Amino acid sequence: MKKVDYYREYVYRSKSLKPSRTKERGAYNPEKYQPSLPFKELAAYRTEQCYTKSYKLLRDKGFLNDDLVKDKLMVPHKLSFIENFQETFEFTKSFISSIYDVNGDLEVDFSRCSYVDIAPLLFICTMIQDYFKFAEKRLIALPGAAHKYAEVKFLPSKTYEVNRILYSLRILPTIERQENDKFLDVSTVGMIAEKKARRHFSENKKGPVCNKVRRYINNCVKKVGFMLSADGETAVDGWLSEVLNNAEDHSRIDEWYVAGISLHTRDFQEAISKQDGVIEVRLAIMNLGFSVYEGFEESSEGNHRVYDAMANAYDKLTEGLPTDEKQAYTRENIFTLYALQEGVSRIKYLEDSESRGNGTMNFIRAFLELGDYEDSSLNRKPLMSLLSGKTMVLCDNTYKPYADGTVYKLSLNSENDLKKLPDPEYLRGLPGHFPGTILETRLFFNKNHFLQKYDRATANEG
Amino acid sequence: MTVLQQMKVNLLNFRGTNSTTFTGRPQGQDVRKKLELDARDADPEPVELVIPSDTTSFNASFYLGLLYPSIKALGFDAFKEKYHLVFEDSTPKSIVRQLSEGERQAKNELQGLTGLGWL
Repeated sequence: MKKVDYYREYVYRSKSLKPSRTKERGAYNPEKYQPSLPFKELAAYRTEQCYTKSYKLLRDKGFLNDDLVKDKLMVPHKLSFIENFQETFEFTKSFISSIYDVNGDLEVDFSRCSYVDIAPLLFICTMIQDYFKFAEKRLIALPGAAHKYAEVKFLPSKTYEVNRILYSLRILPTIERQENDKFLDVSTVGMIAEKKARRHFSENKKGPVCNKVRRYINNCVKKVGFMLSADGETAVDGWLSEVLNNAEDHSRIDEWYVAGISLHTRDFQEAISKQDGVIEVRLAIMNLGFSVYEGFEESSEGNHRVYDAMANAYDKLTEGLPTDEKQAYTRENIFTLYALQEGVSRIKYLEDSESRGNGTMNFIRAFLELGDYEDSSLNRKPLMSLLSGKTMVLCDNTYKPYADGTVYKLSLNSENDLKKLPDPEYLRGLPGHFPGTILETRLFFNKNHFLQKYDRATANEG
Repeated sequence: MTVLQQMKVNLLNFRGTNSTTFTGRPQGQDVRKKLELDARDADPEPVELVIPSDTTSFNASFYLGLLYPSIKALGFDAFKEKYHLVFEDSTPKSIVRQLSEGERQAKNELQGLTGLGWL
């Protein structure tokens, strides 16, 4: 019996019967074969899937505003949450609203800007990276749609210092070198975006990021002729890792971001010849999610004992104050200050959370241990700011945490008394709500100061 | 019946890749679960936890996540007799200070002392 190969038979027949694709339809025309746009609803659904977690969070918190969308944005003269909150806050809102919704490209003009801080730049750069993630996802999800990246063009400042910082963070692609440049070097640790990972110890990124930033700081201080001792490394690591713990704990989208720059100016170099090298390091650590106060409000039911006590204390503190002064100390501001006290946590009532509530005080104390070098005559003043929701807490060498028995407290007043009002310069109520927390620091590392301090500590222990 | 024996653990395996720090309460709690320290608390044998030689930081947050339930269950003195944190190599003073800081915070917690104690 003859064997029939049915498969080959089918192939031969189909080949002979069917005209070739080219003969039937003509030459391949890419325009003709572009996939058609999906239905409007489907397109909207797919676009929604492409938005990043941080974009959705900002949108849900009302941070984005269609009325603020512009194709040209003027950066304020001081881009700093600390020095110029209102304008900086409005600018960042407008920038993030515009990048997603601008029709065409976006121009950001720094020409009037004469001062920049690292925190707003971290926020902006994070959102640019987020936007490109969204745009790439959208290209894949909706290949037929006429998408275009909104290109962001940054125009340089007239102030050279600003341009050097923008250039080091790769915001400006090129820079014209200035005669008599006061900077010898502006370097950066880059923009670091990490996710909370807890499936395995090896996946946790806080340790590696601490290592990276500490090595970066060590490389910076080497430029001025010294390096961190083992004690110095422990102090930097201890502080950084507590800040990162805090950022990770409070992020609603399980992401946290870090950026840092160091400034090495000529007057620092002159000081090296006198064996007194100093370098300035600015760092910002950000998480998006709920503010410190929102965290307490959300857990007010479970945490009612602490919450009610804080509410009573607030009422007593502001009792009898004139209306305008009372407005300067909102419930949110005072609750944020109370929340920083040692042993205070919004989730302490939960199982396994008993010993919580020490992290913030740990990092404030560690910061002041690192940043106790100050030279006001040269404007070298270390500063740490904690921006959360509508509150900003500033820490420097003026008001420090103090020991009351075995517990550390921070009252932000000269009386070291939490029952008295804090200094409004150090506990500020803000006109806008930042949807998360940014910790920003300015630190000065001075060779002689460091050596003397750790020599003293060793002598005391010896 | 499981018989627990004297335990000596090098914490290097729990420090994470490319990390020289022990930090984070959740990470401390995870290590505690992995080492089954709840079961060890009931056992009379001492436990030796070895801090690896190149460690640059042992934060109070990790210390409390790892050891606070034992401090609470045993009391501070019994805890100190049972649990020994030792260094693999030399004894860095900076990390000894961090361990003391963890102990101070644990004692405050046991006594219910907080910065809002005046409320």
